[in-house]
Amino acid sequence: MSFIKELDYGTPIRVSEQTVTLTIDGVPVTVPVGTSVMAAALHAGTQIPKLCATDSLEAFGSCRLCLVEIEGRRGTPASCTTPAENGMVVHTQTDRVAKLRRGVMELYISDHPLDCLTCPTNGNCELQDMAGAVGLRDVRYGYQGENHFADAKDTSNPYFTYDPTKCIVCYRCVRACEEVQGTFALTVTGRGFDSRVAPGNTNFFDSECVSCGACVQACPTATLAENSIIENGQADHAVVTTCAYCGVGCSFKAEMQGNRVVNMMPYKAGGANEGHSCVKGRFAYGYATHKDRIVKPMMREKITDPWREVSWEEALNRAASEFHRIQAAHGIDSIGGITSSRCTNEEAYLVQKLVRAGFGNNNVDTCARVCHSPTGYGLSTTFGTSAGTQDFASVDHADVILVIGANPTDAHPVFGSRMKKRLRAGAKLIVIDPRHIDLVKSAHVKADYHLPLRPGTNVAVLNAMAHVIVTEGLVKEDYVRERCDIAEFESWARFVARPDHAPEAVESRTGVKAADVRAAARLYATGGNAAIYYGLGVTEHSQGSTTVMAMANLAMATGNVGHVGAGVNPLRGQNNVQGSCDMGSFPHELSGYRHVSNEATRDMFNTLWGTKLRADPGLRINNMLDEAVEGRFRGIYIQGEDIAQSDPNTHHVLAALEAMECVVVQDLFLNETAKYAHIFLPGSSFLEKDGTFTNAERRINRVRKVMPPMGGLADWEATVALSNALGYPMHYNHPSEIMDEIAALTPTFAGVSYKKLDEVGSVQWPCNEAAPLGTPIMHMDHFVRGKGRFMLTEYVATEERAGPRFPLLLTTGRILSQYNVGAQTARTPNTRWHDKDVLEIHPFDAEQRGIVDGDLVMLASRSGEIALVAEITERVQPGVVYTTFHHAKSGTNVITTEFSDWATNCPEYKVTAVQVRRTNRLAEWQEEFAENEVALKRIAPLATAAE
Amino acid sequence: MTAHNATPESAKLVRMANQIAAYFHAYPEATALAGVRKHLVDFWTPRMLQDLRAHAGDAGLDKLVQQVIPSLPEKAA
Repeated sequence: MSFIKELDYGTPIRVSEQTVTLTIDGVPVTVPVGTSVMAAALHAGTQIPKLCATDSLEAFGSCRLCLVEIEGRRGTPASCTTPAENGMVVHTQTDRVAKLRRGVMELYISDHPLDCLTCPTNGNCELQDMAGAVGLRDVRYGYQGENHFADAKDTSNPYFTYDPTKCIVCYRCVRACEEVQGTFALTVTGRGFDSRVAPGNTNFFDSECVSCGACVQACPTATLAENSIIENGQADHAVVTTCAYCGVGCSFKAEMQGNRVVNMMPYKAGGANEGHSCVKGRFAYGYATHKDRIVKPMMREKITDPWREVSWEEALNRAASEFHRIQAAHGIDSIGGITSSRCTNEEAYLVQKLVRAGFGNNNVDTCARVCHSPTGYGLSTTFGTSAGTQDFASVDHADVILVIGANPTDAHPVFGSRMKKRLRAGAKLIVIDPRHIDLVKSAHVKADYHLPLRPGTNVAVLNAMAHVIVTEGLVKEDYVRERCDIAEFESWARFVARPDHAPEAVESRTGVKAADVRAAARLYATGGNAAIYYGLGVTEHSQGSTTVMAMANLAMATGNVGHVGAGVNPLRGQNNVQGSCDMGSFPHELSGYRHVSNEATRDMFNTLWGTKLRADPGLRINNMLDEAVEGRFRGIYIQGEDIAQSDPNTHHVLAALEAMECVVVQDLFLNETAKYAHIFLPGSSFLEKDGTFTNAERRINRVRKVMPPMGGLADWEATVALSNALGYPMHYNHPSEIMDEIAALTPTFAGVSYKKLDEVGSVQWPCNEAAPLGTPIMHMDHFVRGKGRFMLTEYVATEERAGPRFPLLLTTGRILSQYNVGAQTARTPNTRWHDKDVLEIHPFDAEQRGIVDGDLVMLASRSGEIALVAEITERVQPGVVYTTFHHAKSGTNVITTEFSDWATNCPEYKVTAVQVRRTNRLAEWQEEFAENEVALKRIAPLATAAE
Repeated sequence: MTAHNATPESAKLVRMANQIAAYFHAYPEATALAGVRKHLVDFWTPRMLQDLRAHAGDAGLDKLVQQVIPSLPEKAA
C-alpha cells in the first residue's frame, strides 16, 4: 500500500454552477467562478510553487513564491490571490517569475538552518520541495547574517514541538488556528525581522491552544512537527480509516512504519471532517498499544480469584457451556448481550445476531440506551426514522443555529469548529444550556441568546418557544399543511397555546427570562434557515424523548425540516452510536429499526439466518440489571462496554453483576465491568480490524485494519467463534461479507457494499436503489413516515427533586481532552490537561459552604457520595454543580440515580439532587475502589496458572 | 404480588409504567389508553407485563395503566 499524498490546490476549492475559462501555459481550463489562478493551474496539471498557500485556508498572498505573469496585466500578481477570469492568459513559468521566485527562496533560506538530513520533516517538507522547484543553487546573502538560529524550542505540548528556528512566518499556522479551528490561540508577535509565531505570552501547553493539530498540519516546514514524527521518522505507508472517538467520525490517514502508527493525519477527502481533527483523534491514539492491553483470553471461577490466562478455545468453550447451563437451569431468557457503540457496524450486527439466533431471545441492548435512545424514539415517532436529518455541511447554510444540551466545542470539536466558522460568517446563535459553555462567548463567537435553564426543564422551555411561535402567528402554515398531519398539528397548536405554556408562566420554573424565550423563539421562527443541534443534555433526562419530540415539533412548525441549513440533528456521543442502533442492537427492533413483532421482517431474517426469531421485545440493560438482582437474569456477553463505570447508580450495577453466574467481557482493557467478570476475551482496537462506523450524519465510513489484532482475533472473529461454540454456526471470511448480509436484510443499507465505499469514500443511509449514492439530507419531499407528526409534550417534572437535604442539582458532561469513561484518553498524555474529575461550583454556593478553590469536597446524593476537588467557576449557575465522569476512581455514577426517560429508560444523568460539603477524606466507595483495583484485577503468574 | 410486598425492582416497574402514563395524560383518554398499551407491548418483555399485571389494583398505579392491564397480552407474541 502506498503513501497517500493528497493534492493541495493552494486555495479553497470553490463550488459554483457558473464557470470561467482561461488559458494557463497554453492549456485551456474551465473552473468554477471564484477559483484562484493557482487552483485553476492545478486543474490544468501545473503546480505553481507556493509556501503560504494551502487549500484549507483562504489565500493570503504573503510568500511571493506563486507569482505569475498574466497577459494584459502589469507586474507579476500572486496566483493565490488572483481569481481566474474568462479569457485570461496566464504564464506560470517565465524567466521573469523564475528569477523572482529564486530570489524569494534565497531570502527564506538565508535564515533557515540547513540541517535537512537530520530534520524531522526531511522528505516531507514543502520548503525543501520549493527550493527544488525553483532551482535554488546558492544563497547570495550567505548564512552569516542576523538569524533566528538561537531561538529556543517550545516542547511544552505533549504531542508536538514548536521549533522557531525553522519558521518562515508564512502565517499558515495562525490562519489555521483562526479559520479552521476557530480558537485564535496563535498570533505573530513583533514586526519585520522580529516577527515570531506565538501562542500569546506563554508556551503552547499553557496557552488557549486546544491541540487540534491544524497548525502542525498546515506548517510547510518543521517548525511545528509531531513528536511522534520527531521520534520515529516519516511513515513508509498510509491507510485511510475512521477515528474511534466521538460521533463526528473523522477520516484519518493512519501513517505507518510497518505495523506501527507514527502519525494520524486528518484526511481532506473525509466527508465528515474535510481534513480537520481534534486532540483526541489526531494525537490520543497511544491507548491502542498501551501496556495495559490484555491480549490473552482469561478465566476465573469467582471474581475474587485471580485471572488465569487460557487459550481462545478454552475461554469460548467455557463461555458457551456456561450460557447453555444457565439457560437449562433458569430459562431461555436468563442471559443476554450488549453490543458496543465503539465497535464496528459488522460487530454490533453479529452480537445482536448471536443473541437473537444463538441465545434464542431478544435480550440485546447497546450503550446507546444510556445516551441517545430518546433520539431514536422521538425522531422515529415524529419524522419516521431514528436519525438526524442533515449532513454536517448543512450547517454552512444555517442562518440560525439552536444548540441545546450540547457542548460541541468540547464533545464534538471538529463539528464545533465548522459551526463556529458559520457563526463567524454571521449566523445567529441560540444556546439553551444550564452552563455557560464556550459557545456562549468565545473568540469571535457570541450567542445572541443564552437561555440558562434549570436542569430538567428543557420541555418547559421548548413548549414556551412553541407557544410564542403559535400565538404570535409565526407558524409556516403552507409547509405544515403540505407536509404534516393537520389534525395532529391543530391538537398540538391548541396545546402549546395554552396560557400555562407562555414564557411568563414558566419563568419561575425554568429560571429563564420570558423576554429572552420570546426573542429566541421569534429568531428561530423568522431568522431564515434554522437548525437545531443537540446532545445528551436533551436525552439524558426523565423527559428525554419528550424533549426530542418538542424539538421536532418546533422544526416542523417553522418549516425547518427537509432542506439544507435546517433540521434536527443529534450530536452522537460515541463513534458508532448511530451504527449500533441501525444494526438492530435494541431489544425491540431488528436492523433498520423494524420492530421484532413485524412478521414479514422476521420471516426475512428467519430465512437467511436459519432460525425462528422471537416476536416479543427483550430486556433493556436496566431491565437486565434489575432482573439480575432478582435472580432471574444470570449471564451476559458484553462487547466493548463498561456498564460498571458508565451506567447510573453504581451500587446497583455492581450488585447486579455480582449476582450473575457468567459475565463475559470483551474489551481492550480490564475495565470496571471486567472486575466482576468470569471470562475475559481480548478486544481489538479500531486499528486492528476492517469494518465500518456510521457517524451522526448517517455517514458510513470504512474502518481499515492497519495492524494485526494484538489478541489474535478481531472482535467480529471472536463473536463468530463464540457463536460457533454455542452451536449456532456463523461463517464469514471478511467483514465485507457481514455487510453484504446487512445490506440484504436492511432496506436502508441495500446499496451499501465495501466495493462502493472504496469507490466513493462514504455514503449516508438511506443508500439503496432510490438513492444509490446515499442521502445527505432526509425528509426532502416528504417525511419518512409520510406526514410529519406533531406530538403533545406536556412538561412533567422529574421525581428527582432538590430539597433541604440535597439542595443543589448536579449535571454531568465531558470535556475536550477526555472521552467518556476514559478507557482510551486516560491512557494517553491527554491526562496532562485533565488528570482528575473536578466539581464545578458557583462562587455563591461555594461561599455558603466555606469552600475555596481546590478544596476536597464530599458530593452526596440519595444514591451515594464521592469526594472531588472543587473548582469555583461562574460557568455554572447558582444552585447547579457539574462534573465529568472520565476517571473510574472518581465514581461519578455512584452519585447518579436510576431515574430515567419515560419512553426509553435512558438514565437521567443530567439531574441529580446533591449536597456539597468540605471534607478531608475520600468517600467509602472510593476507598473500596482502590482496594478492588488490586483485589479484582489480579492475574495469576503463568507458572501458577499452568499448575 | 401486591404493593406491600413488592421488591424494589417491581416497584420500579410501577414507576416506569406511571411515567409512561404521565406522558400520555396530555391526550384524550381513548388516545392515551391506546398509547400506553402500545408502548408497553412494544417495549416491555412478556415477563415484565406479567409482573405489572400483578400490580393491578395497587393504589400507586396510574389509572391509565390500570385500565390497560386487562388488555395486555398474556403470553409472548
